[in-house]
Amino acid sequence: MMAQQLSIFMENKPGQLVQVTGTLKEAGIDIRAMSIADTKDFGIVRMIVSDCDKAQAVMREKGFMSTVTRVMCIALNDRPGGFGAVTECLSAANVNIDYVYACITEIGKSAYIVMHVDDEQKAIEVLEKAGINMVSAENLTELG
Amino acid sequence: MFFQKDIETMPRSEIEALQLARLKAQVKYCIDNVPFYNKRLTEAGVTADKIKTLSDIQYIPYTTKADIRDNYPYGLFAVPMKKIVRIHASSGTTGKPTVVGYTRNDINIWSDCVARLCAAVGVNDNDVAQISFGYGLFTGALGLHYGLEKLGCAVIPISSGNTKKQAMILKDFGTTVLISTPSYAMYMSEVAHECGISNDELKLRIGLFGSEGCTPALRDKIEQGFGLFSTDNYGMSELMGPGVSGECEYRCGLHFAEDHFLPEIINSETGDVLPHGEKGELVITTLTKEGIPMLRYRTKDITRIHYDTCKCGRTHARMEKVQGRSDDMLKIRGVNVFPSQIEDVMANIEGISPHYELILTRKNYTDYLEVRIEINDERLLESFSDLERLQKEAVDKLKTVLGIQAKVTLVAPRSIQRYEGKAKRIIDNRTDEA
Repeated sequence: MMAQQLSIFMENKPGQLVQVTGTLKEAGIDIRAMSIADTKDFGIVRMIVSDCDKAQAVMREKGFMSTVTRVMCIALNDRPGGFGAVTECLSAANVNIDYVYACITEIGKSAYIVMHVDDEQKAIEVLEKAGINMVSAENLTELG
Repeated sequence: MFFQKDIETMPRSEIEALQLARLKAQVKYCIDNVPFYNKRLTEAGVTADKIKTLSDIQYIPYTTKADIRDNYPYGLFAVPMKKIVRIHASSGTTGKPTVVGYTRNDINIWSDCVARLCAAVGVNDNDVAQISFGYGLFTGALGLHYGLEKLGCAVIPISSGNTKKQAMILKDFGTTVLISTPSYAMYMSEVAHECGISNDELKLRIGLFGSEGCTPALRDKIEQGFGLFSTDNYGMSELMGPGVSGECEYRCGLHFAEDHFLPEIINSETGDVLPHGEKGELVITTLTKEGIPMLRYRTKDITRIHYDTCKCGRTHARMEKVQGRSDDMLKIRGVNVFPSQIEDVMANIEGISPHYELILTRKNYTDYLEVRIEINDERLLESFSDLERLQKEAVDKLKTVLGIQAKVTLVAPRSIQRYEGKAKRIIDNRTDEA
């Protein structure tokens, strides 16, 4: 249910993302899910990759600043209301979502949600109780 | 520690008597040996006899960098080349360099002055001193070199550049004293740590940083980075080189070598001499120089002088750390800004490196200041709002200190240029048109 997420600092200028993706490609690392939060000047790229430690090492070599954070991973049915069930649960338990991003594997099948919340323990507790399927890091990193 | 205790702790009345006697002699020496001074002092009606008290120095016209340039290369030398044993020159950013010459006696006095400031922070004959200033026409490296040798240190004349090798030698040679610009020391500590060298493996204990300004906040960062204690020293080739003044272990100002230099503070716009304790442009008269004596040389550096006896026991006057050269001052939207003020703000913000860059542009007749800062704390990536908070903190603090709204750009670590000598942190893209 928990996964390692790599966050990378980037200046918002042409060519930056290419360097990130190129470096990961060279190292044979696959990106499973990804999001970019940005302002006009800078951004943070967050991603779940096939080998987080290796990814951080290669990014560091290229001079990128990065950090690894624990995040929650949830598998949802790809249908209306799928994510709604999660937000309702967390809202009822007064858990705040810091950020969230999603990836869909194949339309109509499952969707995966990566999220960071302010109270991880409580979130797991209420989601488990509601029968929401939290996937392990392996599930997500082995996605094809 | 003292190098020449009897001189360094001489009662003020004796210092002043010595200065007066030497000033008279230096004025006579200039009139007799340098046609430029002869003409200028004759026109001003000044003779050595007219100098009866130290304040009579005000009758002597100022000497400027332009005067040295106009007499390029040797016009202001007071002795024939036969007596000159060394020539240095300052990097002329515009036009010709300013050239200076030293007699054997000048070199000897210079070494004494440097040895004093090194001893004042505790450097002694057991030390191994790595000189990472660039050797060459620049006075910094050889000035420190001779002074440290005079103290009995083992000097490593590595010069600047090849930073990985610098780090290796710091460790392998057991360097205890590092001599460099503050920005290079900062860079070297980054490189040393990247090479896997920890401070525990180094024997560094003292840093003698100079040749560019350094705020106390930046100094603290360098000291933490390397685990050493550092002092600032001051000088310029026109006057001699490093050793004109230097901090003691109390770091409450830089002690002049007042037996060789007579400092004054003037209003840089009107040229009026300011009373003791006021801030203004530093003007210095050399008292014992033989090669190229300087009468009332305008340094363009802004400071204040304190004449009370220091806790260290030294009686020689102290100048405050130079806030900035009057040349370095930026006028942004009519507001006077010293880069050192910005450096001070940046050094007090957590999560960023001390390296920064200032970019000035002008649009629609309005100046814009952009400050680029490097983040260096990975934890900031946990939350986007932390980065935005950092950016806002920098904007707010700059606004408080400078009174102007600056744009703050966060950039990736190590993306701002590092320098092996003096840092160039200002990019002024303003043009006169718009």
